[in-house]
Amino acid sequence: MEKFLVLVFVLPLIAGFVSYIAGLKGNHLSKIFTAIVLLTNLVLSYKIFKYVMASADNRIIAVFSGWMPPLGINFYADSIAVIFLLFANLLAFASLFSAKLSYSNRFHGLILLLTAALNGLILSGDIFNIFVFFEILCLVSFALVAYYRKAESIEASVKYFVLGSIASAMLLIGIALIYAKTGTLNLAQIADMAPQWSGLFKAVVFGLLLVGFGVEAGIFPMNAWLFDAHPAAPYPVSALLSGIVIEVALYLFLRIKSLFFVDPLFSLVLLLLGLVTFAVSELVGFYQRDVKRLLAYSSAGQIGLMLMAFSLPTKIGMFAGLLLFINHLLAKGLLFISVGSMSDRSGDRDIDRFSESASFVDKVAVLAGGLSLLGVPPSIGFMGKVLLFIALVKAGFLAFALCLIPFVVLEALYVMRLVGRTLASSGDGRIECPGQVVVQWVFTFIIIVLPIIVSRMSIQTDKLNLNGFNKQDYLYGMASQLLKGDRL
Amino acid sequence: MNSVWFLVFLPLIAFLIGISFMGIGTRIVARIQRRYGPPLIQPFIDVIKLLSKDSISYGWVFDMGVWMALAGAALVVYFVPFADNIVLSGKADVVVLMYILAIAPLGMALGTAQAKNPYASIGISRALMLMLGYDLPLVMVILGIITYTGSASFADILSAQQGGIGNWYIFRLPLFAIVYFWVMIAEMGKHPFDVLIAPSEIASGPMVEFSGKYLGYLFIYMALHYYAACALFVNFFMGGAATFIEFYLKMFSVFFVLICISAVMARTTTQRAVYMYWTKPVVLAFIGWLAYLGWRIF
Amino acid sequence: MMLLDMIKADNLAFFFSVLTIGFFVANTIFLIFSGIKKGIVLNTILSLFLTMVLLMLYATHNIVIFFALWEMATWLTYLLANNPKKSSKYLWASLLAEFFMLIAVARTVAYGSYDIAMVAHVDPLNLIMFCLPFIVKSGILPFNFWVTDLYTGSDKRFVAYLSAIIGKLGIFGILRVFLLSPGLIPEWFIYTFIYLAGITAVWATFKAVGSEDAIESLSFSSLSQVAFIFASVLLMNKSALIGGLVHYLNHMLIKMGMFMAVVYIWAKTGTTEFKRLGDFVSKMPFSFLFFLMLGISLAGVPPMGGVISKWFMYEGFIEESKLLAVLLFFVAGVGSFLYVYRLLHSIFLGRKKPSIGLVSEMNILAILPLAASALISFLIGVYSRPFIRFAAKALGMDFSEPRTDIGFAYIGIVSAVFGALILFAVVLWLLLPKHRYVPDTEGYTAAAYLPKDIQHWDYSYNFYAPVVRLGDKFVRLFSLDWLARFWKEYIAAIGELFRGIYSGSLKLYGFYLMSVIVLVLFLKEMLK
Repeated sequence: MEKFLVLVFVLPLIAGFVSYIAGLKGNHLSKIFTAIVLLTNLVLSYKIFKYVMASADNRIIAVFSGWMPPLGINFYADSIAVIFLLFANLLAFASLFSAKLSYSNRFHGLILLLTAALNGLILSGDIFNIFVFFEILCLVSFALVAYYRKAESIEASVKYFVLGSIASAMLLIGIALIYAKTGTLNLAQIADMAPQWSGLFKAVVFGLLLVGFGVEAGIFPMNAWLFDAHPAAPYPVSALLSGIVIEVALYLFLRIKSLFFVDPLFSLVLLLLGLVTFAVSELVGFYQRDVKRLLAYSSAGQIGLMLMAFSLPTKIGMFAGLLLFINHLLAKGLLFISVGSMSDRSGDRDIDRFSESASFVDKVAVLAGGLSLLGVPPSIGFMGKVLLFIALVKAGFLAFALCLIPFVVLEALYVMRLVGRTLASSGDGRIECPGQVVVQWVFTFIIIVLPIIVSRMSIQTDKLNLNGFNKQDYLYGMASQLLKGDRL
Repeated sequence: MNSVWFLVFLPLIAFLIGISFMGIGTRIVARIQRRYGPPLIQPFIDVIKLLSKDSISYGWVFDMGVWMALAGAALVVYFVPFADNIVLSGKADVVVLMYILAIAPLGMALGTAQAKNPYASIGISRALMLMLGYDLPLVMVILGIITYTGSASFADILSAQQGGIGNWYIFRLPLFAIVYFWVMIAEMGKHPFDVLIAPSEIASGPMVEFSGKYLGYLFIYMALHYYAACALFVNFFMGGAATFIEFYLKMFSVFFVLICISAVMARTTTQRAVYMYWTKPVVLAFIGWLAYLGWRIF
Repeated sequence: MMLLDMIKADNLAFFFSVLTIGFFVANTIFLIFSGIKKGIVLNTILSLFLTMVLLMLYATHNIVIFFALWEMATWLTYLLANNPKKSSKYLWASLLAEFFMLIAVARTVAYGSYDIAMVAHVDPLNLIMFCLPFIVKSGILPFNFWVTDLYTGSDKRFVAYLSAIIGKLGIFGILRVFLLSPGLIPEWFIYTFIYLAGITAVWATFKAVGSEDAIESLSFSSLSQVAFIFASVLLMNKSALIGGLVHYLNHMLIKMGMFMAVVYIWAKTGTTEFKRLGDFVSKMPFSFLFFLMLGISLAGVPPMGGVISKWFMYEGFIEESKLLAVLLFFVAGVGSFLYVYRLLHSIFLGRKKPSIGLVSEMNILAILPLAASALISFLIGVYSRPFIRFAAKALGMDFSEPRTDIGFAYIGIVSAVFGALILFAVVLWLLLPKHRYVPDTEGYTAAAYLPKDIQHWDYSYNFYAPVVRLGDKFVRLFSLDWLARFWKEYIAAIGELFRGIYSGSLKLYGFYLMSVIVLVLFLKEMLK
């Protein structure tokens, strides 16, 4: 199992370069190669998923080159990590599969590197390692956003680049501070030492890390680059960015926050930030005419909701956050792929004109994706939203729940506007890439079927088989797993 | 035996009373207008004449309309106490009466509709709007009487007014009596609220396409309606009556006052009439509610 | 069978389930055989789905499931109405209310229970939040602004379902919650909403009277009747409750039948405007007959069923001495006379219009549901005892006959006497001198020449103009358009304010980053 963990990261890393070289001969070669690699990744991550989810005590720790932590780097996979892992690889494969054939070998190579970075980030247990992968992720994203080399893409990419660089710098300073204070880079060990930090130190490091990860994650007010970059990128890249990249950044930040910054004040700050992110994004998104930009605002809003859900200390909150994440990934991925390809075909991203050449599968996909995104029962989004509200009220944050209401309604209105325009079109367009049609049907199917599977899980979430962003859990997991093998 | 025959002939008796009112009424109006007027039994002669003439019809709905008008009007007669005879009654007469009163006009309206004449349609629309107007104060009065008496049965209302002239509701609930009288004028379609007929304007409105026996039926309906309206006022406000003569005289006094008022007034437009009915009588009835029923109306 | 278990879950569920299933079956039969070809399959499938959702909704006592199903019903209605532009007001109004319900659900779960009976125990505000969607769904002031748009814009194949079942979901909700929480309902809530419902009923009646379109007229009529049922259910008085439920049944039958006739006419002629229709009685006599019966029932005239339910409801109000409310609803009732007559006059009677050809009678299978609803309505009028018992059982009350004072026997006597009198009238009419039938060109014209196209010699536009003029200010006030405009401008202004946040300038974005760090530093005081 540990080997799979390593493979899931290393394989796409190497394959990225190989694919680029292979693609020099012809695009289809690199595309096939990339597809095979990503499919393998998907299968591996599914195997890992099955293993870890079999029982709450199952974790996998992969140690590199036999150097034990805290000296060496380790990969740590608990249930929440493998969920993210599985869906990341699923979305990567799907977005590649739905990409037009005309995308060059540059594209395929970059996608593979992106997948590698994502997988590494989700699994990593060492803070500087996280920084390295984070850099890879950012750089690859910059390149992918600028793929089209048009003025709009370059501008978006530059904005993203500048903000991302500042963020990385902040991140580096924060990590350096931590290293200076604790002398170690291993997450578990730092977590042990974190309670002794002074208030000032905690505040400073929290701020730096918040900015560092928050820019990538799309937390208000650092998410402004999102709304230029996601529309400008090609549609598979938009799907990936919205669907998994920002979520992984959020996941990272929450992982670190849960380990180092356990003061309830931090949770409150994050709750507030989440609320404001959601509110502002939905309010501004209501007035958008560019469909991809509209979807980008919706993404930022959902990130706000996820942030709120994950910052609640309870199991219900965590489950709500997970459901929101899965829902958003599937729905937004589907929406970006459909809407993006429709607007590519009609050449215009304006809401009145983008759906001119919609086809039947586009309509079905947009309807399913839109309804799921909004949380129409019986979709997963609905379960996520209900659980979020219940979690908020149970934790005593009734006022937050009340404040959410008008913005949720706003979101419903503008997403339904989008869906309505799509459904109103004549539906006689044709999609050239068969892979896209397959992906759309499969995702629609998953969206419909997943609620049935999930609903078997009890709503009494104490009985859930999931680990969360829980410090005790993490430390226990690390210790018990490391002690299990005779590697000491 | 006696009562069965009485029941069967009650509509006829009511018709005759109504016809007599119509005859005497036209004579009184003529006198007020300083002329002699037609013979006293003229309406009766008219009805007989109409019933014996040929007529035209526009369809089965037209036919059905007049049947409903006649039957509905006669039905009302059965539920209004006649002198000392409560006729058919139960615990909630007044409420049933309110519903039954709607049947005959409905019939006439349906018949009129199939006649396809715009004059008739205008007339009916005005009649319905007027009805909307006067029903508001009417129902306030009825509700007031029911609540005051504590029961919706005619037996109870009549017995509450026994024991001397001072017990009559016209003296105990004068505001209600005034409002009800006011409403009666529109209900019977007399000046100043005869806009639904408006003979010189819309060629007598709903009745324009009726001829022969159809018009005869409508005349019978009108006569029965006159009887019913006056009898209701007598039963509600003047303590009913013990004998037929007393009953007839009381009804006639009501009718006389009504005719005198109506003879000297001009016609109002529908809008003005409805507006008036929604304001002045309603205010009076509301004051009546507060005065006679107290605060329990809310 | 699971379906049977669900329907029999409890008496209230049984009542509503039977009615909903009955309606769905009748409506589907009508739609299939009415000759409407387009979109019937999708509509039927979605309606079936909606019916299933509703059946589950009626049966459940779990608040989370109730909420989920309620929201599904809202969304399905939105999708079935098939007019995103006009249904958006309905959507956001419903969603807004539903999220308040969600908060009430969350608070009840936090309180420790998943049962509907416990909602009121948390606190009275919780109950009100939970019931907010019911009020919005029933279209009571001040939540009546979405009604016009949804009903007039809705897909014609769905509008009957909308009017007969969906419009009354709020009533089910109120019954379900209130019956399980006796004594916990705040008095002021009941008072306020009874009078609000009264004003809504009058407002809706005025709009129906002034309407120039058959479907709009029927929709406002629906709203008016629903407001009446809502108020009587809110009253929680035995008579009023029974009356309310029987009126639910009555109204469902009436609207189902009336909409069927109108939708059929729309399908064949493409229009439902009064000024373009007329004289359908000559080709559709049976439809006219059943429509007439249903119209009489709607106006509340014996011997049709409408009178029974209205009677009970009025009696409930009188028992509670709410005379002012009775007055409001009575005015609405009289208004119903007006618009029922307009429907009959302008669609079926009246003169044939040039632009529309006459339409042949409905297929026997399509007219069957219409006939059934008219006949059941008649049955309720003359033999109402089993229906009243059915409603009482649904409410968990035992209905032991003290009501002979108002007497079903009494209505029977009335009907018998009326029948005899009609017979007399007919016989007399037959015995009197003969009549002859003339074509409609032989009308009285006060010596004017008939216009060349006689079809225009008709009065069917602006039928109730004086009353509409009088009520105009009142109607405009309560249509709340002014409020909607105010909100729209307000939100647009806020939106403009916030748009500046994402202005596109990189310097601004960099500033945001820095400010976050600075602000977080202020936290150092609060940490230890």
